[in-house]
Amino acid sequence: MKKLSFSFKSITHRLIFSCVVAAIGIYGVSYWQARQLLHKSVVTWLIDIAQARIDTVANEIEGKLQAIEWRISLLVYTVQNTEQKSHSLDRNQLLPLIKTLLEEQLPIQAIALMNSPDISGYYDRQGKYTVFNQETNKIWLSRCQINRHKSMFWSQPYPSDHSSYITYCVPLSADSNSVTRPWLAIEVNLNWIAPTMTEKLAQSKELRDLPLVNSFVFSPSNRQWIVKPTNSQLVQSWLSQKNYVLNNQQKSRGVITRTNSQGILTTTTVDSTNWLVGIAVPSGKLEELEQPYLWLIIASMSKDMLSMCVVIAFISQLTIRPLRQLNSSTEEMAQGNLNTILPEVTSDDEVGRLTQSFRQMRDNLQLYISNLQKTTAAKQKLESELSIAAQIQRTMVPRSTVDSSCNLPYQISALLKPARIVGGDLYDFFLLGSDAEGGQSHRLCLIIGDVADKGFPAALLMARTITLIRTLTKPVSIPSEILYTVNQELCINNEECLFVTVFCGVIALDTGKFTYASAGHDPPLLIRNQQVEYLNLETGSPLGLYEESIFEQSECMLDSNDLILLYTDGITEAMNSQGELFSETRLMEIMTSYPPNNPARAVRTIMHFCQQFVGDSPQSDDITLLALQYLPLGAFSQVKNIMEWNLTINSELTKLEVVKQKLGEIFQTAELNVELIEDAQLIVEEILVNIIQHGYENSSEGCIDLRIEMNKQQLMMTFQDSGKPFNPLAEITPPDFNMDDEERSLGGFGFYLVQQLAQEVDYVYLNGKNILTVRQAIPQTI
Amino acid sequence: MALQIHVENTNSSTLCLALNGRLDTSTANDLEQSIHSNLTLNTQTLILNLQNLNFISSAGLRVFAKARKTMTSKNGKLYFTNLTPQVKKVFDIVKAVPMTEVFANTQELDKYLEAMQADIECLT
Repeated sequence: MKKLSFSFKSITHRLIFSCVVAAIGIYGVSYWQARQLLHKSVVTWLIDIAQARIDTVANEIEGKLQAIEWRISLLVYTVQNTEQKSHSLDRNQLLPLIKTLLEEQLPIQAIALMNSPDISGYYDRQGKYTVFNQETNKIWLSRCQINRHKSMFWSQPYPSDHSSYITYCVPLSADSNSVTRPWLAIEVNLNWIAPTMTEKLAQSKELRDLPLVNSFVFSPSNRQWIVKPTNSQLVQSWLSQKNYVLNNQQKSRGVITRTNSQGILTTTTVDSTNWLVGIAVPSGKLEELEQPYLWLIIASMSKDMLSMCVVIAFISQLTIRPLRQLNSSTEEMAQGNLNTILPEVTSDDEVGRLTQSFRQMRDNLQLYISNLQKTTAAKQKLESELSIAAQIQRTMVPRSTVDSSCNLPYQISALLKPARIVGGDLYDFFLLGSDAEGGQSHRLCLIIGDVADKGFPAALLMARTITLIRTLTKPVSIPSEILYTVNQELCINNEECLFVTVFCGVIALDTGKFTYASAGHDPPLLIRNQQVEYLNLETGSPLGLYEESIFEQSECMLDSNDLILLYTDGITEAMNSQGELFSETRLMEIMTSYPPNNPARAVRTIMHFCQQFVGDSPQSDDITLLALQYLPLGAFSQVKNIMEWNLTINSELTKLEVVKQKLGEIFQTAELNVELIEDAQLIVEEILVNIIQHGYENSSEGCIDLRIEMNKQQLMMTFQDSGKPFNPLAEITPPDFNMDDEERSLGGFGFYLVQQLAQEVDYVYLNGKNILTVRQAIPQTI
Repeated sequence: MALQIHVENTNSSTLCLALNGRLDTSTANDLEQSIHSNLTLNTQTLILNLQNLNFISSAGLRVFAKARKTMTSKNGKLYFTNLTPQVKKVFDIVKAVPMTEVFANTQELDKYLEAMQADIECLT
């Protein structure tokens, strides 16, 4: 069964609904009680009236009958007096008396003389005297039953000629011999009873609805209706119920009323004849009587309910109006317009208090928002200053990737990533002149440093340190001197005891001799022939703490292609979400597993794994990486006749120009002919574009390794990328030579050109990398 | 700029562009835009003077192909003159352009055009 649920859109509706429901209940109870009361009252009143009327009727009947009795007894007395004198009935005297009586008393129909030896007969209304014959005698006898009585009596009623009659029998002599005693029988017509009843029971105008139609006169002795009620069957059944004693033994005095479920029955007896006179009011009639009053009650109650509902609705509307106003003001406020007008507080009740607190809340909110705006503006200003500071700091260190032309005997790649917007890490590299002994010219100085802490304060010390290093370093300086001088300067006015760890190294580019010293900084890694090891050094104390600090120098020899990696503890102390540190061990492992063959590769590899390790955790310290590769022979290693030039190309098309230019320079130095150079450049462009567009799908994240090997006969270029597996030999169909196919992918024509220009093109997918090898024949100069 | 484009207009129905430098992936877009903006409704003939164009790659070929298509749709013509060796080599490999539309130098082209014009006049 589905549960009925409905909610009210308004308090008014809810109020009205509940009031109506409650009212229905309450009024229902009242109605029921009123109905009971009405019923009782009506019954009582009805009984009262009925009883009074019946009594009147009975008395009237009684009176009439008694009048007749009295008249008769007067007559009999007269006759008896005469009889005593003459010991016989004087018929002549008697008959006129009878005649007179007949004429006087209208109800008397006939008077008969019975049991009189010679004059039995009867007088009727017309004055005719009829002598009894056998038959009539018998009739009269059966009617009178004089044998049973000793003195005067009323007989039972009997019907005759459309009306009822009753006979009053009177003995005429004092003779107690019942057989021979003459009787006088007076036949009385009972047709005057009904009109009498009607008259007596007539209602006044107000009571015209009184159902007194069921009046009756009943003779229980012979079960005869003298006045029949309209619903005789009902009354008969009523009377025959157990409660009613219908035999003549009950001689009750007064009016009796019986009420039962069928209605009210009021009866009384006429003593002389033992008749039952009564009124029956069936319950149906009672209800009919009550009905109009009940309707009146219902109408009145409904009117009450209605007016109450109206009043409640009105009052509730009045009360709710300020609430509604408040609601609309609030909605407007919610839209963002805090300057709406709140409704006036007119009363001190809950609604008024609510309005009051709302007003307060609105004001507070406005205040809060304006405060917030001010704070945000200040914060934004601060942030913009910070970003400017970050920009300035970035310019303090040399550019991260030196676009070294291939003639420089080294390649550098560097990365500086502050943990906050500005940081305390620093690196630097610059050329020095020969040292004091004049033994080495062309020296390159490498610096890496880390200020204690991070953020703004560290950034300020970083700026100071890096400037001091540049300023105080002379062209002849050696690492220990540099560190010593800078330390002196930093120790002055350093009450805060801020310090900075610095590593300083100088490479003699001619000989490959690497001299270095450290002030509290970790030693760098040396990657040689795919072996990784730490450089040995004795580190001094950090700069800025002790004026008298001395920094011990160490040195080693660098071979060609050696890679030196300088880093700060932002790498080794990078923490992941479990609190683990990246650690030197992991750094070494990574460098061993993925030995980089150029500085850019080195930086990229370390950053990749560090990022992977840290995951989503925030960067805990500034990160700095500085990688240098020693290439004393430039791009060429003429000893082996192989030029290995590894460049890492960002998969951005904008770098293409740079690459091709470098290639041009390289090939020119190798004294290749122009045509070959042009072909090679074209090949490189087409392949790189292919890789970027197909393998990396134009994302700027991938990188491509290009290795160029050249010997006397052949120029071999190997392209390695870690993009989608893509074999251009298989997946690029040769173009159609239909000029309308300009929608064809670049690779269509491009790769075709490559194939045509190159002697040999090979592809293999190995270790997750696409490896494409292109070989061009070098025309031999004769 | 790696590619420079000079506009040399001989008459209102002929557009002549001289290309200097290299036509590759990074410069191809420039040429395409230049052609697009310089072509007018009247232009019936587009001449590309490649005298100083040192280098071309497949990106450049694509631009040429587009230009040729545009001209064809206007019932016009596209001619190339003064090809440098590298460009010629590429054209040969790819067979990008019918040889009738390539001329060694400007004079040959002019002669050809005059002949064409004469033919048309003859017909009318």
